[in-house]
Amino acid sequence: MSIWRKLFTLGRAGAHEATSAVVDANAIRILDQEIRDADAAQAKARDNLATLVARRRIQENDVKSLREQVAKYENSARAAVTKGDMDLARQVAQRIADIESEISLKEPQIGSMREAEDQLHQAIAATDRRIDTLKREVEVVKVNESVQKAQEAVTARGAGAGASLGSAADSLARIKERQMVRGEKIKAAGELEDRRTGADLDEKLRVAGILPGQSSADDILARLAPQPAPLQIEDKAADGSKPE
Amino acid sequence: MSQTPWTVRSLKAALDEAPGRGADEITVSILEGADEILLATMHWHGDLEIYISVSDQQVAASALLWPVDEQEDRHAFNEFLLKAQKLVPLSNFGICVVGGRDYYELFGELSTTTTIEDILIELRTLAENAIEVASDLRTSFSSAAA
Repeated sequence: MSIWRKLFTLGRAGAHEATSAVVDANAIRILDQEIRDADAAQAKARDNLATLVARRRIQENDVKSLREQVAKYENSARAAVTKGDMDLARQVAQRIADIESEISLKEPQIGSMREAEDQLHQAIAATDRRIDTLKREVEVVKVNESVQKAQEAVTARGAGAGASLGSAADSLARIKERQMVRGEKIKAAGELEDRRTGADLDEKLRVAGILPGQSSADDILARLAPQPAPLQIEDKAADGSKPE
Repeated sequence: MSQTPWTVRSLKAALDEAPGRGADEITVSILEGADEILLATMHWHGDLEIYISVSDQQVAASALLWPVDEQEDRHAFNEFLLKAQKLVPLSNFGICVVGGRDYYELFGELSTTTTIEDILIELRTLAENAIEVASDLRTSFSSAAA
């Protein structure tokens, strides 16, 4: 069963305390237990394998010595036949037959022992891989704990005004503030520039309708008009100014 | 050419010199502890802090979002996150505990032999996503839920 499922089952059992601290603590505990179990199983499997190999070697030696006996008795039987001692030859042949039946019993056992050994080898390799995976999982959980501790340290360091906000929320506020500051700066820079060129004053004058350089036609006419000026001359001059 | 597995220190050095990063974009510092953790401050993203851990198995980057208890209609929001997070590029949502308080977090994981370019993309995307989620998603969700 994966660590995920175990934690999930555990979380369901104690749903109210299923905070990630509990999850982490339990993850370590579960993984630790699994590694121990796997390690114990591994030790046992290696023991079994050693026993099995020893038993197979004994069996192989047995068969080997039985075969040697067969070879030896065959020579003896031949010698007895050559001598014409058929009674002795028959006894030896009987012994050979007994030994061969013993061999035919023991030899297949060696084969099945080898198969069992292969299976154990595979199981041991699989458990080794499993233990490696578990150890890596423990490492991930432990590193995660370190991240949490670091987060706590950094969050505590920044505690104070607005500390109830999380980091991204803080950053967003900071971005907005910076944008506002930037906007204000641009506005302020614009205002400074206006002041330098006199545009700010012009703007005020324009709003008040008394912008210099943009005098009304009446003002200009008043300036152009000859000093001793009765009303009718002013009217003519006003007409004449239009084509300009 | 394959990348040798990162360590906290080699990753810090590489991030300091990463090709294509802005000079004032990121500050990376090492937080000492049982396991050293990298803290990347993303200056282009409102000084967002990203915690980077390096283990034998993965390089993990994570940013805190906001306390779970500050989220309106939390259960509906959680369900929404589970449904929506497939659409969030490179990052996943989670909940972690900081100082005894549950926080939403956004995180991403990479192989320990990933390139520095990919790590930079991961950090930028994570920061981008975190800010976006803190603005649009959070507020639009609370108004939609209201």
